[in-house]
Amino acid sequence: MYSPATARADDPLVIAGRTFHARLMVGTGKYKDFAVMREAIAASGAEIVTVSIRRVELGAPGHIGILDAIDLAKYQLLPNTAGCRTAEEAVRVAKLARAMTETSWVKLEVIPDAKYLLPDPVETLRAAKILVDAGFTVLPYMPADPVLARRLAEAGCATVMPLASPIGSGRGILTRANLEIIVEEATVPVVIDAGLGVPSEAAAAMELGADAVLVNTALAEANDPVAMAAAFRKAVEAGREGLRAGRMFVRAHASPSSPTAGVVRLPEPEVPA
Amino acid sequence: MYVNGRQYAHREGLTLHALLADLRVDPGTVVVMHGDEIYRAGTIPDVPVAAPDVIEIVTMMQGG
Repeated sequence: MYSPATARADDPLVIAGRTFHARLMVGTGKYKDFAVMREAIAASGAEIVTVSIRRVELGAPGHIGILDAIDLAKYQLLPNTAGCRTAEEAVRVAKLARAMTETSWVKLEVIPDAKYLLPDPVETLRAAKILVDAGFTVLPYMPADPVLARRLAEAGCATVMPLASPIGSGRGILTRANLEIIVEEATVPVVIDAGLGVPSEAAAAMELGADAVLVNTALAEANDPVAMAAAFRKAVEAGREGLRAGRMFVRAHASPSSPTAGVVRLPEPEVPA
Repeated sequence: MYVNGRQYAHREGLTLHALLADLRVDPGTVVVMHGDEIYRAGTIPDVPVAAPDVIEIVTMMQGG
């Protein structure tokens, strides 16, 4: 008998040898407070949660990090290198993140442009190679470029994380054609990251074959982040289950759902001879 | 010396622990990078700090 729980158990997401059952990853940024963030993360069902590494504010007693705000044992933390503009900066932050979080997983972000927050493909690949060699499990945020995705996978990255549209934009999937190629050719899990604004877009991402999606702003900036997190969870599950179920054939013309024979019709008016 | 990208007045005999105390930073919640060395929270040694040193003091924050 089909059930969503059985479907998830039968279809785990495996990243770098670790098995997950949730295919929705979430960020921790932009929430109005930690209580809402905690509730939203719980409602999302996420097992992988992103955080950032930042300089502490000096001379400010009680500087609040996120250390005490989430149950560190409950989640696979995924520290990011957000804010880094070069491979060198990203490698440095990744090392600090590893010391801070005690995980070698890193969401690699190398973004020189503050307006559109588009990742630098050359520096991302360079940083990925350095980090993989240094023993990191690298999940790189990247432009939706199939060639780059292949190069990052060949470099030993654990996933690729192509963008749907610019970070925090909520513009949905604007890179569909390239995402389809990335999915088709993928040798590592594909996590569609950035730009998803509503649950239907997450479902669409899963239906096109993504292994997972990552959202942050769509939850944190919703009127009700907890309800939105629950909605995204259902959408990701629905999209995945829809993909596995196999979609119908697309026709150019209509095809009636009811039998065409035996239709009750009024008598045809007689046509005078 | 530089601490978190800002110039900081070095004084004779300054150590990492004294620096963190000066800055009112809890050493149990931060990672310190002193030159090329990275020290985890709770394992930061009380080593001398020299005038040309570059130090980063970081913690985990919200992020996407």
